Amino acid sequence: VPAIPGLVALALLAAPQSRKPPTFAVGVENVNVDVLVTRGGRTVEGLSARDFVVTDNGVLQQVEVVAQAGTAVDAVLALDMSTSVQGEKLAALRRAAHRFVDSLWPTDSVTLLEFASEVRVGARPRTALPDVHAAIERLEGGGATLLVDAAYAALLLTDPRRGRPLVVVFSDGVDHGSWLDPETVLATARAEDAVVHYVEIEGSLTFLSRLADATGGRGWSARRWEKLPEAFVEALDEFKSRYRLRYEPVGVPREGWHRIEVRLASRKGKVLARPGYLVPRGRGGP
Amino acid sequence: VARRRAREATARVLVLLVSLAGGVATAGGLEPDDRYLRLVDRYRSGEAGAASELAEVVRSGWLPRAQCRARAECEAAAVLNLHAASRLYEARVVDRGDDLVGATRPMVSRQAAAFAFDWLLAAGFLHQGFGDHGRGFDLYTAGLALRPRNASALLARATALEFSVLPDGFGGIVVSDRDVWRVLYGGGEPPSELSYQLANPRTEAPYRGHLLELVRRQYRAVLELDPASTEARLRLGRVLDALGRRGEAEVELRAVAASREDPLCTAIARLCLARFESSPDAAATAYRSALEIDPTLSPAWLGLSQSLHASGDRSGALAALEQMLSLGNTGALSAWVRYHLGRGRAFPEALDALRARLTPPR
Repeated sequence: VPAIPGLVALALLAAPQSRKPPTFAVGVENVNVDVLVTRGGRTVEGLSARDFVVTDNGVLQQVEVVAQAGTAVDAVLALDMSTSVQGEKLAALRRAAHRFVDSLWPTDSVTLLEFASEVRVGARPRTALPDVHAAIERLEGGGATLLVDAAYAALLLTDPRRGRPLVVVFSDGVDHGSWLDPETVLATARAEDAVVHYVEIEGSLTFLSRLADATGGRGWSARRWEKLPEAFVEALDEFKSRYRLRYEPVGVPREGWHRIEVRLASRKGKVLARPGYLVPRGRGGP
Repeated sequence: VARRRAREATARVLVLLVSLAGGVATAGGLEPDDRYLRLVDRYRSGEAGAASELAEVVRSGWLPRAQCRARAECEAAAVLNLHAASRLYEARVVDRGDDLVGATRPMVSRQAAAFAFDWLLAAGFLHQGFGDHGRGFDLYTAGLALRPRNASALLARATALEFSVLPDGFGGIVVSDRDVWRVLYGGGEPPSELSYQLANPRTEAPYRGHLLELVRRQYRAVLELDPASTEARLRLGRVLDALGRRGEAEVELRAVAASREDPLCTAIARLCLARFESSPDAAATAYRSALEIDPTLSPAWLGLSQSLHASGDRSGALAALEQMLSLGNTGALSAWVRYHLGRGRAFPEALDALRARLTPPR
């Protein structure tokens, strides 16, 4: 069971449920937070746990840095294959997907998700790379844009047991015909561990922007189709340069919304991390 | 602009979708010779070999028949052409299919009103069955000119209009803004600035609101003519929901959800009702009840997955999601797609009825 950020899934397995303990049991559940630290637009490396100050609903937490570069990534690459993606655009998108896959390390895994009038899995994790590339070559544009439904699927298809969960969504349009409500998918994102990055071509992708904000992710505007490969690789490299912080929450009620604040203790730098995580109410105590 | 572009860009997708799923009918075309006459005889008697022979006729490029003299000959040609057009759509030869229906229409218009009405309706079903609500609307409107208070035609035309305001997610071809304008305002030409107004979400919204209200009134009119129409009630419920009249919507949808007359409508009604549930557990129960009737209902799997996730059951949510993802591999036309084909699913039955009434063209 993957972490949601770490703690939810483990908590859900806990039984029997009790309503009395208002705080987390130390050593039982973890919260994972992927943090990007930059200064002057460049990634700051070499930080340790002492450099970070993390609060959970205002309560200071004891954190450890569990990973930075070198840790496996579990990526879901979700591609908008609607009718507008044809010809040269399709070729550019395929090139970008190939570059993304080639940029993964051997320990990483990737799920290829395509969406148009349906949401489909093109390649599963642990698929041999030649087969992933073959799946990319089979991509064809045609159909509507079930962007919200696809985002939900991408979030659930990540698995922290395989690596640090990352979703990269590409879309060149707005949602058209999804069943799921954007707000419910945003709630899902808040309860999941994955960081969502997105790459877009023609701006104002409100939903994706909000999804990225909710997960501590970012957006890349490729502006031109031929720039897509660079954007895809930048999104992956940026994620790989993040610190993964972990803490066992203390002094806060388990259920509900947890506002996370991450800042640097003494160094200068800009910090980007998810604004919080959600533990659904009514799930009982640990 | 992006929304409009998305709709326009995704046109014809349903043609491919339905083609891949095996289509809604089979058969051929004809030439005015002995082979044609023999074919008609065999065809109307329902002989199995006739359908495959007709299919061969279409593939070999015989020209369809657009001229006729006697009534029986004209009716036979019209029905065979319609069947041939369906075969062309299945083969994704869309333009030829469109041309064939278009060329047959003048011939049909010269026949008795009873036959012409049935043919126009069937042709509308055919177009909608392949995602072309625009042509369907046009044919239904022609049918309504012959029988203004026919519940089937009113229902069909309302479904065609429905997809101009409720996104279908499949990119069907919607009714043109010009035709919508004429229905909304009782004729005339739309102002030149209409396209600009519709490209702006702020000015588009009131227009679409009017259209939604029009569709609501049309479904209500169908129910006045035919209170037992499950499909009209279901679609009315969905339109009421889109209008924000949730209480009224729920009444209509619950009535359909409890009925067993039309499994597709019952399943869709249960699917829609799941969204009204206030708790994830209740929503999950509602989604499951829809899936009991139709396990190909992909949004129900997705909704079930999300409800389970909201309840904290991630593994259950993932399992439901995987069920949805596996549907894409079956090749079957899901209930959700069939719903969005308007009255397209009525085509095979309508064609059979037309065929049954043919008399030998000798």
